Amino acid sequence: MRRSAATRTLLIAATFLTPQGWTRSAETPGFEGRDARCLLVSSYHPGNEWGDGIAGGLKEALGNRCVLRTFYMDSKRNREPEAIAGAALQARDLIDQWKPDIVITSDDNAARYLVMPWLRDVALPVVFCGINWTVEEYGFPYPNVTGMVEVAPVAPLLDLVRQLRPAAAAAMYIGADTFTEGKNLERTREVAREKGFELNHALVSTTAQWIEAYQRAQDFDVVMLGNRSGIDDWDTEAIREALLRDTRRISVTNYRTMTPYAMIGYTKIPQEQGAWAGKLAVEILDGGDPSDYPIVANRQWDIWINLRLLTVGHIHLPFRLIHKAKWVHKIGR
Amino acid sequence: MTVFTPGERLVLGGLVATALVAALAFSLVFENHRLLERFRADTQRIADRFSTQLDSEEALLTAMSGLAHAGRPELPQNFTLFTEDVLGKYPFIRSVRYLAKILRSERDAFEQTMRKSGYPQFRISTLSANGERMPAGNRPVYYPVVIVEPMEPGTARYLGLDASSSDGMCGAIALAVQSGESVAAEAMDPGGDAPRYTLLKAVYKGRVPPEAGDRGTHSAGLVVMDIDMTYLHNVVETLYPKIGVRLEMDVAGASAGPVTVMERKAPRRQAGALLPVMQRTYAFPTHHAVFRLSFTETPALADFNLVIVLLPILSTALLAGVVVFALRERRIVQIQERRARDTVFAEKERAEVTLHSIGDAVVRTNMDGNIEYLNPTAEKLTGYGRAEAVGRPVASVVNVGNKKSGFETGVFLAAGAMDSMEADGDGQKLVRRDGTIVSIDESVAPVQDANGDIIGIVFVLRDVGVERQLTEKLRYQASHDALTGLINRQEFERLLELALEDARRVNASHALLVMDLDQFKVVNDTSGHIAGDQLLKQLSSLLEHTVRNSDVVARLGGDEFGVLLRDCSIETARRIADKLRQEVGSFRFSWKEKIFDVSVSIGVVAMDATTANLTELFSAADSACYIAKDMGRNAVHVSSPDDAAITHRHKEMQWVQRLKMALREDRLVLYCQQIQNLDSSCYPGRIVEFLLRMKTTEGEIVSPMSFLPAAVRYNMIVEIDRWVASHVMSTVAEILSSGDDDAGGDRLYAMNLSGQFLGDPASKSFLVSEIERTGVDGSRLCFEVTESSAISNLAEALELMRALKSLGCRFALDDFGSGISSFGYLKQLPVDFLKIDGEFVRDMLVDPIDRSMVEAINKVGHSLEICTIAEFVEDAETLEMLGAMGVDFAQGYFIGLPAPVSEYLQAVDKGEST
Repeated sequence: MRRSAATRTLLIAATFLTPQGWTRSAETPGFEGRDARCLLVSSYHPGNEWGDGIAGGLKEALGNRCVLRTFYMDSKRNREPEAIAGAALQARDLIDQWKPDIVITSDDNAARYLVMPWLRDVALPVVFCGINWTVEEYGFPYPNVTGMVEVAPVAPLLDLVRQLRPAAAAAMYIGADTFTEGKNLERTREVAREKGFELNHALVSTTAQWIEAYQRAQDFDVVMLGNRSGIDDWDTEAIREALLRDTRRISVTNYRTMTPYAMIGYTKIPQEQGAWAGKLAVEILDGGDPSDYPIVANRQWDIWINLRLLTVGHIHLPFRLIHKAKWVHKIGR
Repeated sequence: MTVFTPGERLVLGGLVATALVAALAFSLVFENHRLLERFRADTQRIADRFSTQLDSEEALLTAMSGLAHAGRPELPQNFTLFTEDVLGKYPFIRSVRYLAKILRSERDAFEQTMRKSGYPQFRISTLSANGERMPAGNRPVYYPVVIVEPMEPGTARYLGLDASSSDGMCGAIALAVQSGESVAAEAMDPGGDAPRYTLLKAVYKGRVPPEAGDRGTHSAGLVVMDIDMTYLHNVVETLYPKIGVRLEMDVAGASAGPVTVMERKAPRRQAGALLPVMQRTYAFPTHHAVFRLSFTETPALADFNLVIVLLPILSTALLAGVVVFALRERRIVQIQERRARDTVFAEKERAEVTLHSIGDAVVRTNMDGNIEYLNPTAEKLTGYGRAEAVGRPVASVVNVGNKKSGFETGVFLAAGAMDSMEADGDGQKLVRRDGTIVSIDESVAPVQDANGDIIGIVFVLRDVGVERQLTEKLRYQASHDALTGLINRQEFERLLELALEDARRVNASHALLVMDLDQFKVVNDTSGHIAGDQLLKQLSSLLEHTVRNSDVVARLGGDEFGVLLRDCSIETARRIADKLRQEVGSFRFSWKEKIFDVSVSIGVVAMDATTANLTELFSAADSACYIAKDMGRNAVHVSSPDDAAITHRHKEMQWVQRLKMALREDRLVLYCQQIQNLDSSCYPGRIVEFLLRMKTTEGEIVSPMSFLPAAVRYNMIVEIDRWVASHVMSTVAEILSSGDDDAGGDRLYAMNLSGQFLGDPASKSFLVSEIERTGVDGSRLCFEVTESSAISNLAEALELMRALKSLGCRFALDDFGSGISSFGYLKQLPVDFLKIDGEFVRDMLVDPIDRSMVEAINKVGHSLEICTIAEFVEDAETLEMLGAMGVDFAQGYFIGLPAPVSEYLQAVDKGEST
């Protein structure tokens, strides 16, 4: 409670600080006799696989064009809005002190808590990446903000299912009973409808419920696995037994963490997000105007094949898919 | 030289010029034809390349339209993968796009779908005249860009751009849709200077309708490929830089006529106007357009192959030259024969004059050995006039005594056994007509005629008497000592080498004596160097007269002499050495009313077949000489292989080498040992003694007992003491300045000084300057000297002690009790501490005599108001007894082991050693 109160005080104080002081340092960023500075504000923490992947793609694309510094908001481990807002204020202070020539943000919380309240319509260019599905809620684009949206490859996954099971019409979605998964379900349902699938769902809170939902899902043409983040008692062994025992239908997922539990996975690639943000940053540092670059969506995905589950379910895949895929040999690990 | 007449020259020149012009004309015609052939081949290769490119474009466009047809182009994974692959492999493809066909009624829904798919700004738009994007106006159908490859921030902006909004593209799209074939058009996207054109191919829903009228309604979109001709431009520029190229695209039905897609002008070249321009055009008809590739090249003289052009000309010129040359040669031979006769006569005259003028004597004989000629110098040298000498045998005029005559040598030369000959090193002696003898250098060479046949011998003689005398003098100086006239070390070593060789070859026995004068320094110091030189001269003479005739005496340097005793047993050598010792011992050297007794120490070494080399021989002799000196001087020591003294000496010398290396490589280290205060009233503080150790190259720590004796014997101890004093003071300065010294300013830092150091007059100023350099307070320093060293150098020691005591320094008398004259001197020496010799302390618990000695020394010390320190305290009982006796300080392994300075300081920090 003490922490929340302090953060709140910080927020109130911060509202009196205007972002007017953040101007691009010169006509061409990075000059004034010093190296260009790029600040990456990551929504997550060091060691987060997705965040690190974005940072990796970004660094490769930036090369030596600027000095890169990273600020971690750590919002995956500290989920309270006050804490995230406090981290955003720290990032804002860092921008104030270090005076980067461009700010790159990764994932939603950086956009929601930093870009939207503090960096809107300022001269400082901002490139975002890793924002899920849509930027509508943040009102992007702003004249100084552009970037890449992160769209889960649901449509190509369902295209594949359609190729494998031309007559399939009913799908079952199983995910954790969380707000985020609820949103994901709705997005998936919309795409499924376009692809000619009727999507049923089960959002669960326990391993037992998940297993029960999985058993029910075998009555549908296809099983779609949503994220398990939020199922606190996730029991890998129990799930593994259920998969070996009950699997009869083709199962797919768009989540990297669920690839050990689904036959086929199409997952987003964080490096693509980082690389696009890096390329945009270089263009802008070289004199480009952010408003000249439209917001785009990711176009690449990793293909995962769980050979063990495919064998259990007696599912055969076309060679070109196997050829391109990354293989998962075990179930549940 | 005028060879031909003017008329002859005119005729010859005309013939040659005509032949050359004809050859040039032939070459140019031939070469021009060759250049045309090359131009045709080059342009054909470029055209073939472009033709292949067109085929590839058609094939790729068909493949991509097939992919778009098969899948859903709005979600373009397969299409993207394929185009990424194509872009990497075909450098002429700049970009690939997919244009979706969107009817006006579908526009809103389509835009909405795209916005939901991650393109929130997507809208179907057009470009205004000034290049700005604006929403597309109402049209029945739109062709917006929905896929662009490569997808980059710079190309992403074309997403949504309606291709049909451009007039030029609109017609091409309509044609592509209606025909179902690939259609060429001007480049679609704005910007960029690269030479480009665009290819389009329609994609239909289902099969391609056979009727053209149905194709519009069944079309789904178009695949567009932007072709960049920079690639071909660069190929031409790199591989065919002389060729100009222009690519025109003539689209069927286009009102504007052919469009120039790419142009590279032929470079302007020198002399181009003289030669015809080469041109060639290739046409490539496609479905709805014709591409024309036009090439031009202006040949230049530089293109001509010089070899081909010049070969006929050169051949003609060569032929003409040969003819003219042959004519000319014939004429020249005639002229030269006439001139040669005149020249030979003049040359002979000049040779005669030259021979008369040179300083060397020249004598020429015929093959019978009779003189034919001698020059005036030869007349003067031999004493015979030319008239008398000519016709006489050469040996009777050039008389070289018993040596092989020049004529004999000349015969050898004539027979081809020798090329030439010079006199040997000793030189020739010539007996002149009057009987006097002169030294000469003689060289002999055969005289050959034009055919190489020997027709006589020529002798060249030179009077070298003066040169030879000078050489002899230099040779003597190089091998003899200037002062004594004895042979010098270099010559002596040469003779020793010969003797060693002799010993090995015939198993002979020789001996070497090395002698060192014992009192030479006294003579030099007291009466000057002139007296010293005189002594050396007289002694040299004495030595030479004492040894046998076959022996060799040499001055090896300074006051050191060597004697080589040839064919001499070791016993005889010992006797001769002893005789030499006695002779020198009985010699009295007087100088300005002073009489000096001198003596000599002699080392004797046998030289036989087992002697390894000169170095070892000298080493053994030097060691034996040292031992003779150690024996009290005026002595002889004979070295033998099992000589323990020699072995010990060798070991010591090895330690000296190691010590020198350690000094050079900074491997001397300081240790510290605590001296415990036993409730002393004479000095309230504590004492630390710095001890010296040597680190071997392997890192082992060596005790000073191993190397200090050698250092003392070989005069290195002063250098080592300086190292110790300097490093101790620097360390103490560091300790004091860092605050590690926690003893309240009363800890005393002690170090040892040797007798030689005390005796060195420079030591005092050295220590004073070190104290000044480091800034150490003198009252924190204590110097330990042994009683024997202080007594041996009493005067110098007293002077040094007084000077340093004036700076506050203290002194301790080390190992007190081990000497024999202790108490008497103790009163004279201004020492502050007395260190009782550890040998007494160690056994004092069991040996009542030792205990009494410790008690006595302690009492004497205290009676002189000197603090006492007991060494070698190795157990608690001894420490207790010393305390009971009233000894002030104790030192030993029981109190604390010696430790490296850093460890000691750490222990001090922890309070372990204080």
